[in-house]
Amino acid sequence: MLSTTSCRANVNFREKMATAMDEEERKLQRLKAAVHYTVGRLCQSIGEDHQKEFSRQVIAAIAETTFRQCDIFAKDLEAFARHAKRSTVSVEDVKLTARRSTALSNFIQRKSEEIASANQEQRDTRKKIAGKRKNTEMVLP
Amino acid sequence: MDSVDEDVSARVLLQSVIHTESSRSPITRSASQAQFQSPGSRVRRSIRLRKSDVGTLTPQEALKQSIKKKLHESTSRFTLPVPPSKRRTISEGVRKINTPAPATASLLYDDDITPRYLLRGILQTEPETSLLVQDRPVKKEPELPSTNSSLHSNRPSTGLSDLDFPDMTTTVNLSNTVKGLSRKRPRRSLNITAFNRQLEHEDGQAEGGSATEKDLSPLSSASPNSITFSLKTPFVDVRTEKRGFQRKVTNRKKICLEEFDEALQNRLAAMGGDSELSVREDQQGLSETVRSEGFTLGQSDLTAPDITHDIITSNTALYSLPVDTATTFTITTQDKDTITGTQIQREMGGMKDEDEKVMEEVGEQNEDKMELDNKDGEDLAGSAGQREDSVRQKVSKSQTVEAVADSQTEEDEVAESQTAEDEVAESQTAEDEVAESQTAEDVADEGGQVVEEGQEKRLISQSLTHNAMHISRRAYCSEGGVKVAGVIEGGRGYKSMGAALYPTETGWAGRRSEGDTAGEWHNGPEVGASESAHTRTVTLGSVPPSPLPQEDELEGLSRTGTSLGNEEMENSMPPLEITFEPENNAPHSSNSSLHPITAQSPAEHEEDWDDVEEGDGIRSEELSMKTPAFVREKRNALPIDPLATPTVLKDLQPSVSAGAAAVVKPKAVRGKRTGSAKKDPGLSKSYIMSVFKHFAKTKVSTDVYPVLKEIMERYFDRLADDLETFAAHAKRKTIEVEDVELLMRRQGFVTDIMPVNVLIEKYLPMESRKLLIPVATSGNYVIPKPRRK
Repeated sequence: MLSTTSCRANVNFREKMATAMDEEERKLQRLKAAVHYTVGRLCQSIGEDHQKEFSRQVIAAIAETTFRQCDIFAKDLEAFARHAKRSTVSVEDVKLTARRSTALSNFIQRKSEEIASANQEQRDTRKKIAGKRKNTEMVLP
Repeated sequence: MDSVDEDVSARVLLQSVIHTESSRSPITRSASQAQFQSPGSRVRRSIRLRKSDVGTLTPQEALKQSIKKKLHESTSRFTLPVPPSKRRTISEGVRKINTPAPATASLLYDDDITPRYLLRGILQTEPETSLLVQDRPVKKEPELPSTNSSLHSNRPSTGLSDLDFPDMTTTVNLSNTVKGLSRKRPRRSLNITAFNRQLEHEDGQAEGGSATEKDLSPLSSASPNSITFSLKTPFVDVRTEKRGFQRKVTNRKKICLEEFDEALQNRLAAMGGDSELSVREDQQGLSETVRSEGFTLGQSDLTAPDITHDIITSNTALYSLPVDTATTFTITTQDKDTITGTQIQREMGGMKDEDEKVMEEVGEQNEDKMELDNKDGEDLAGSAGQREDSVRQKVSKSQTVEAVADSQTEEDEVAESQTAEDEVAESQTAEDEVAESQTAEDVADEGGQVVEEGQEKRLISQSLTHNAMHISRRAYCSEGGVKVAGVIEGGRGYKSMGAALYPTETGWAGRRSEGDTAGEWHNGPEVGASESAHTRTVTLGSVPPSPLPQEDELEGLSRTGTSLGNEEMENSMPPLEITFEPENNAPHSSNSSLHPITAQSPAEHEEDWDDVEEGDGIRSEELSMKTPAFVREKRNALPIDPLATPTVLKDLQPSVSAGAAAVVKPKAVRGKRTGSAKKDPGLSKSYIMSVFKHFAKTKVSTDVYPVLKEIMERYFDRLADDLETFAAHAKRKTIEVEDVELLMRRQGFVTDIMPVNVLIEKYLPMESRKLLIPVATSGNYVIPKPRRK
C-alpha cells in the first residue's frame, strides 16, 4: 500500500514536473516563434531596401542564432551584475557585454546617452511640474 | 603415479606433459629435467613456484625464476628423462612459471634429437598455438591459476621458440614471463620470429605461429625490437597516424595549397639573394662575374639558415597571409645573426630600423643580384635583396638629399607616379616595381651621373623588379628595404633615364608606406613580381601608370643604383637609417612624406654613385650598419612582443594556455608598438611548444611556433583587457580572482557543474593548488573567516 501510494506520488510529482517542463518548453517555443517572426519581418524590410530576398533557411538560421545569443547575453548579464555585487542588471552590464563589437558598443553608447538625457529631461520636467504645483499650492492657499 | 606414467609410451608422456600445468613448456625432457633436477631444488622450486603460484608472481619475479631455472637446467642437463608428470608435482603450484621457458630452452638443447621428443614438442606446440586466442585473456592475469591456461600461454612462446631458434627462446620466455603485465613486449619478438617462420613454413606450425602472431600483434605495440607484421597493428597505427595527420593537414592545406610554390620560389630566391648578400659583403668583389659566382655559392650555402630564419620569423606564412605584417611576425628572432636579422627585419612589417638595415643589406644584395639576375634572370631574391639594399642606401641618402633642390622635380614626379601608382596600387608588385623605378629615377635625377644606364637599367630593372618582388615577398616588412632599393635604383635610373623615372620613384615612396603597413606588400610583390618579371620592357621615358614599365625602369635603375649605390651606401647608410626610421614609423604616412625622402635619398645615392664600386660601398655600409641594424632590430622586435602575462594570471596559465590552445579566438590586430628598449619576448618557445604538444595529443611541428606565439600574445592581450574591464566594472582597481572566474565562465571553462577549484586541481601543480585553494592545505580543519563589512 505504502509503496503504491509512494509510487503514485512519484508519478504525480513527475507528471507535474513534466507538465512544468512542458510548459517551459511551450513557452520557449512561443518565444522562438516570436523571434522567428520578428526576424522574418526585419529581413523582409532589409531585403526590400536592397532588392534582395532572404530564403527561409537563412531566416530560420538567423532566428535560431538570435535566440541562442539572447540566452548567452542573459547569462552574461546576470554574471556581470552579480560580479558588480548588484542584483539588478544595469546599463553598465549591457555595455560590458557589447564591448567586443565596436559598432555595437558605439551604438549602445549613443543609445544609452540618449536615454540618459531623455530621462534627465523627464526628471527635469517632472521636477518643474512638481515645483509648479507646489508653487500653485502654496500660492493658492 | 607420475613414475608410473613415465614409462608409458610417448603419447602418454605427451599427455602427461600436456596436463601438467606447471610449466609452460610442455615440453620435454629438459623441461621436466629442469624441474626435477633435485628434490631439494624441486622443493625449493616448488616453494618458490608455489609462492609465485600464490598469485603474487610479478613478471620480474617470473623472469628471475625462469632465469634461475634455466641455470639450473643447464647445469643439470640430461639429469633424467624425468617424466613430465614429476614435473607436475613440483610445478603444480607454478602458474606462470618461467621454468617452462627455460625448460624449453634447455629442451632444445637436450631433446632435439629424438623423434619422440620432437613429436612431443610438435604436439605440444600445436595445441598451444591453437589455444593462443584463448590464452590472451588468460594471460592478462599473471596470476591465472589454471594450469592449462598457463600452459597454453607458455606454449605458444615455447612452442614457437622450440620451432624457431634456440636463441629466441630465452628472450621469448623472458618476455613471456614479463608478459604478465606487458603482454606486448614478448609478443613482439614472437611476432618477428613467428612471422618469419610463417613466411618460411606454411604448415600447421606456421599457422600456429601466425596465429600467435596475430594474437600477439594486437597486444604488442610497444616493443621496440619487433615489427608487428600482423594486420592489425599497422592498420591501427595508420589510423591513428592519419588522425593526427588529418588534424594537421586540414589546418595546413589552406596554406600549402594556395601559394606554396610561389612562396617557395620566393623564399628560395630571397634566401639566395640574402645569402649572396652576406657572402658578397665579405668578398667585396664587385665584378659581375664575381657576383654571379657569389650568387651560386651564396645560394647554396645560406639557403638553409634563411629558410629557418624565414620560418622563425614566420615568413613561411608569407604567401598565405596577406595580413598585417604588424601583427604577424612582429615576433622576430633576435638570436639570428645579422644577416638573418636583416632578413627578419625585412620581414617585420613596420620595423623601421630593421627595414633600413635590411634595405641596406638588401640593397647590396640587390645590386649584386641585379647583375646576376641579368645573367641568371631567375635570381629574383637576390635582386630584391640588392634592391633593398640599394633602396636603403638611397633612403639614407635621401635624407641628406632632402635638401637637394633636385628632389623637387622628383617629388613632383613622384607624386605623379604615386597617383598613378595609387591607381595601380592594387597590384602590389606593381608598386614594387614602381617604387623601384621611382627610386631609380630619383637617383638618376639627382645624381645626374649616369653610369651604365640604359643597359644596366634594363638588366637592373629586371633584376630589381625581381628583387623587389622577392623582397616584398620575403618579408612583408621589408617594404622599407624594397623601397630603398627602389629608391636607389631609381636614382640610378634617373641618372641615365631622366625624368621618366620620377614617377616610379614616387611609386616607390608610396610603396614604402604601403609596405610598412600591410602584408599586401608581400602579396602584391609576389604576384606582381612574377608578372613584372615577365614583362620587362624598359621604358625609360614613360611614366606610365602601369607598373610594368616602371618596374623595368626600376630594375635598370636599381642595377645602376646598386652598382653605384655601394659607394653611396657607405655614405648614405647612416642617413638612410634615419630616413627609414621616420618612414617606418609612419607606415601610413602619406605618400608625400615618403616622396621627399625617397627623392632625397636618390639624390644622395646618386652623388655617391658617381664613384661607384658596387660591392665596396655597399659592403662597407652594410658592415657598418649591420651591428646597429641588428641591434635595432632587436630593439624594434622587443616592443612588439607582448609583455608577459600579468602575475595574476600566471597561476592559471596552464588552464589559460590550454584555453588558448583549445579556443583560439580571432583577435584584433595589435598596433605596432614603438620600441621600448627592453627585450620582452614573452613566453619561452620551449614552454609554449610543450604545453601545446601536451594538449594537442599529436605531433606538432616547430613551424607552428611563430604563429602560435602571435596567437598567444593576442590572446593574452585580450585576456588582460577583459580582466581590466571586469575589475573596472566592479569598481575596483585590482584584478581579483573573481574577475578571472568571470572570464572563465564566459569562456565556458567554469560552469555550474565545474567550479574553479576543480579546474585548478585538474590543471595546476600542487603548489599553485595549495595557494589557490586554501581548503586544500587545511587538512579538513576549516574555520570560516569572520566577515567584516
